[in-house]
Amino acid sequence: MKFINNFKNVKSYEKLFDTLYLDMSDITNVDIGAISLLLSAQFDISFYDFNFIGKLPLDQKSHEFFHNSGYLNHMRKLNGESFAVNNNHDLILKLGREHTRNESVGKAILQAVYFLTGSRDNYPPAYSLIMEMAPNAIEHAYEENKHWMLGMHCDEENKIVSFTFTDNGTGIINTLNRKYPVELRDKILGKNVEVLQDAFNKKYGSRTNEINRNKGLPRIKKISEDGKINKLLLITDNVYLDFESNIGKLINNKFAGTFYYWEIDLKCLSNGK
Amino acid sequence: MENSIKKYSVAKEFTNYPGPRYKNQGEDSGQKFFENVLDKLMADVIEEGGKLEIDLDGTAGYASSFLDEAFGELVLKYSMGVVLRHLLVVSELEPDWKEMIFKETIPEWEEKRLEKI
Repeated sequence: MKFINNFKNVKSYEKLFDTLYLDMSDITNVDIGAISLLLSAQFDISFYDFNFIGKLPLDQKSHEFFHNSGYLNHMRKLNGESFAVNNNHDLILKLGREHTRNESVGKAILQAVYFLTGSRDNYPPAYSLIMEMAPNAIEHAYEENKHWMLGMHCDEENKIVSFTFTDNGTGIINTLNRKYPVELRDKILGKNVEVLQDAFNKKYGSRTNEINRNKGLPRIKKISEDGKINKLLLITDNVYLDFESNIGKLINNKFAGTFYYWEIDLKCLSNGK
Repeated sequence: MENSIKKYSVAKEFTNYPGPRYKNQGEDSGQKFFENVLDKLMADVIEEGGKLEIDLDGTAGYASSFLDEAFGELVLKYSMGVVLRHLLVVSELEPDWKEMIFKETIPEWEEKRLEKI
């Protein structure tokens, strides 16, 4: 997270540099969360007219993970040509700009269920989860250059599918502070964990003109509580929330945006029916 | 036509992939569903004195905001009393949605509607 924060801060040097060299050759371990955060940060920085050149990891497993993830689908060779398109449907990164990309999200879920069951079925709780997150990113997180990223990794060894959802917006806490200054006024400074937990318990939005809003975050929490997904984690601003253990804590390295991680397995699918 | 039931399947007749709340946020939004489908269907059943049955099953899933916007706008236009008299919702795969629509969305939007009068 510290690296991602430092990386995103290069935006403040936009007048000094126009090209960033990203040397990842020493990386020996990477997962879908790290790669989603990295690509999402690169996309965020790209709005400031930076170009990227770089080296992929030398470690074979990490190199393959980058290659198979579709990371290179979002990059160009130095001569401007595209890299070979990733056709690995078990490891995907999908980028949304301005809109929710419903069908694309739905097809990723079909692929996840196919990986777990061999049958290409819908799994509404997972679709709902992402469709709660994406509109939040579009409606609340940004003033401009709206974007979000969905990562999905089908883990053959453990028979689970891992998902990540990332946006580089203002983060949930800052959004709440902007929308409900009166309701949050009495919160003691530094109570960000409690503020965030309260938002997932639908404690905000009691004013009449907002009374119907804010169903999304409680819905996300309920899908986790009902066992329809596993290991739901959230990092936003300076807060880390683990929904399964109901533990929230402040973290040293703030994340300017919102990052979710969760998994589904066969048991989740049976809980979701 | 009194007591007749007009049945409408979202998955079969609108989309497999319901979207966000507003049209400017993505395709097949709750706003679009209300404006293009739900509003007219409700007007027809009110005129005929029948009921409208919306079947939510069979899609990839829903965002709460899609349903809130579509059914909420219905209340804003026709009032809670009229909507409750004429609306039936089927959601056997995800019963939570039916509960949300009737226990949260409809009363909340009625409060908003009364506030505007």
